[in-house]
Amino acid sequence: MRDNGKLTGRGYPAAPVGHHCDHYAGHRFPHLRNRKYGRDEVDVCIVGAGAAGGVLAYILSRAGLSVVVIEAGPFWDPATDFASDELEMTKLGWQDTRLVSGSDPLTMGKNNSGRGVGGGTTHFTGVFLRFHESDFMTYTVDGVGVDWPLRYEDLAPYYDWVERDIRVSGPRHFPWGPFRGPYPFPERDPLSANANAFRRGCEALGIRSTVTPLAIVNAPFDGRPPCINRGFCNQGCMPNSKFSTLIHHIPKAIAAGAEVLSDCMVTQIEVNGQGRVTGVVFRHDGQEHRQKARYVILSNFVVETPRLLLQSASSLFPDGLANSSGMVGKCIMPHSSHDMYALFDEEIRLYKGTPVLATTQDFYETDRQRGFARGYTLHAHGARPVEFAKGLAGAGVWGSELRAALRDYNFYARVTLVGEVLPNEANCVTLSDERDEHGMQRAVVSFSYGPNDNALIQHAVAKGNEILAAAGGKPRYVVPDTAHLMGGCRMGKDPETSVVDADSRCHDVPNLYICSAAVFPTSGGANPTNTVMAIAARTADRLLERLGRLEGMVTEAMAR
Amino acid sequence: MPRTHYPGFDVMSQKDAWDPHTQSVVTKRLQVSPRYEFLTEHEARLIRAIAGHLLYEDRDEVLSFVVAHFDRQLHADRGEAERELNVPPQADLVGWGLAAFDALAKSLHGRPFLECGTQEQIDLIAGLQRGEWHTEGLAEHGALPQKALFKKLLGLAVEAHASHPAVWSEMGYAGPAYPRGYYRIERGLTDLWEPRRAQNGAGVK
Repeated sequence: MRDNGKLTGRGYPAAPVGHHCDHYAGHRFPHLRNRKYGRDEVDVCIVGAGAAGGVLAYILSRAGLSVVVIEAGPFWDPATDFASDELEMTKLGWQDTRLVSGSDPLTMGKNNSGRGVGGGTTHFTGVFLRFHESDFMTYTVDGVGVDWPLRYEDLAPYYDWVERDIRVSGPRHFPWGPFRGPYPFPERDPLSANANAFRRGCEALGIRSTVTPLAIVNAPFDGRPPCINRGFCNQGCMPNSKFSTLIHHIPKAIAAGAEVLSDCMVTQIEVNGQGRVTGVVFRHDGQEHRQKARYVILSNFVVETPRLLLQSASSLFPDGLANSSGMVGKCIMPHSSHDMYALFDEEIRLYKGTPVLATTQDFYETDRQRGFARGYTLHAHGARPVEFAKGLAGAGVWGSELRAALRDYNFYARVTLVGEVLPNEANCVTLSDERDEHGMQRAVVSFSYGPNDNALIQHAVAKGNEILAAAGGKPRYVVPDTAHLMGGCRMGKDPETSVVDADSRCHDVPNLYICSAAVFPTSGGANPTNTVMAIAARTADRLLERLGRLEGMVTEAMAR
Repeated sequence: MPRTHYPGFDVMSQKDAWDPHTQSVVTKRLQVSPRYEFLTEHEARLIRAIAGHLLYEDRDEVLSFVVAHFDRQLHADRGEAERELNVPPQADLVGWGLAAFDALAKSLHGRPFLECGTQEQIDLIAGLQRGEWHTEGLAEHGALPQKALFKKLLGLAVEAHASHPAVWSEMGYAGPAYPRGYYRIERGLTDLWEPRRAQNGAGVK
């Protein structure tokens, strides 16, 4: 049923998106009067329904815990809320204003965060890489950054589980890192002209490349059809071929009993006199509500988690909740993500196909000859008109030059960097005096690259351009950009220098967990979503063990 | 320079193959309301002129959509994702900035912006990009954050422009493809309904 776009297929109002209270099929309400757990103290309250929140809700509710997930944004219906359009789909990013500062102020919104059920997984490219062994011990190996309290081997079974759970497609042999394949689903085929140019360029230079491991199915799975290469991964997948927690983990969690509240903004974490968390305060439609919980897990990402913790300061926790180390909000890291564009004589058509289909990690590990520590991943990366034009504009191009570049759009190929950025305490999230519509202080996000970061970028940009030139292109534009965001509540063994332990549990508050990319002590040089979800699966498992539920669900499933 | 490698291609000829939501989103861009919620008539004229230079664009229907996009963004103001510390919110920044265009033009050329010559207008915008104008005396607000203003104007103009079907057609962007999909994505292949390069206009630069 459809009435001029006002109603969705299921009869909910399309704008604003409905079902704020969603706990079992056929019982979804555009209000909060039919709450399932409204009066109860639930076992677990999860703040944020993104990559981590979705996995946590799925595992914990299936293990029999009572779970409420509270999400600030809407509960999207891909069929009617998504469109094949970049401008319209800007809404998938967190558009609320963040103040930015530093010598390299970050672009926020879609660059690094999501809003609505599914969080960033609704608009990520689907690139699904593991971190390497060295990523968990950069201090020991290279004398930079800090070591994680986890090692690769601790996460390996969870990477296995996540990749199998969502049927990651990838090459039969992956050339780098501890995991060499095969992947649950075979690699993607066919490759776009842009991926082809990338692989030809790599081949000519003796650089190894591979078809990218992707959280996009290339065969029917779980009622979802294979990818049709429409190219809108970053605007929300309409056929549901690309994984998101919106279409995978959250519906399964609801089926297992979880209650998901959308359009509800958590504004405060409540604490009792013993320093234990008792629940959260949230706002919906201007009204204040409370959710009591035995455990609270913050999965609201790198900016909102520190903001909420700092905002929840009290007499017991004067510097902000869980902040005795002073590390809440510190050491945030984006990936450097410069885009290299080269002009070809032949048509490339950057709009066609899954945006990322080819990758190299030949420059991932530290090579002392290069003059900097750590490394990076390069991807062949498609671009649609708005991203292309805005990117060039961001590089200072306008007027007739911009117009000429638009005319030649189909002849450009692009390589994109995902580069490691080292942690630095000066890169941080703090609170400003300016307040938002909920009365919360706006976040100030401060970021500047360090010398190692800049040396890495210089190397990677040159390498990307070499690849494009070797494929027959003329390098034309380099667009400085960032992607992803990590850190701000890092995990560690020492409560004086970290916010949570290896199980994502706050050192200061025994029943408060933080589980998202916020806990990353270092950024790695690869897309983070796989690692976020593996940490979430491990966190859920460890919590279940703590609650006496035997072995934890994932470890048990993996053993079978 | 030739305007396009794909003369005669109109991406809207494909719209029946798009899902209804996408059709409605894109089609609305061709029917822009002449009334503004946020902008004054004068501000709208200023934006049209400035955007014309920023985008090297002179088509009325395209610029009308660009101006309408400014109006909607500044009126609804659902957040601007990021804003640099010490830069005013976008509605204030643009309002202040547009007034400054006239004040600057008067101080440089003795007449308001829209009465300046094309090159004078372009030079004024270019100076803003470089942050080279002295704006302290122009208004009671103090110095205008010129680079932030330039970035905001260019960002809003470009995202609207690159969302207009007439621009898509010119770029040879074959457009939305759901539920149809793209199947011939390999090097050198095109789906039958995609634009083909004009036989005689082949080759770039």
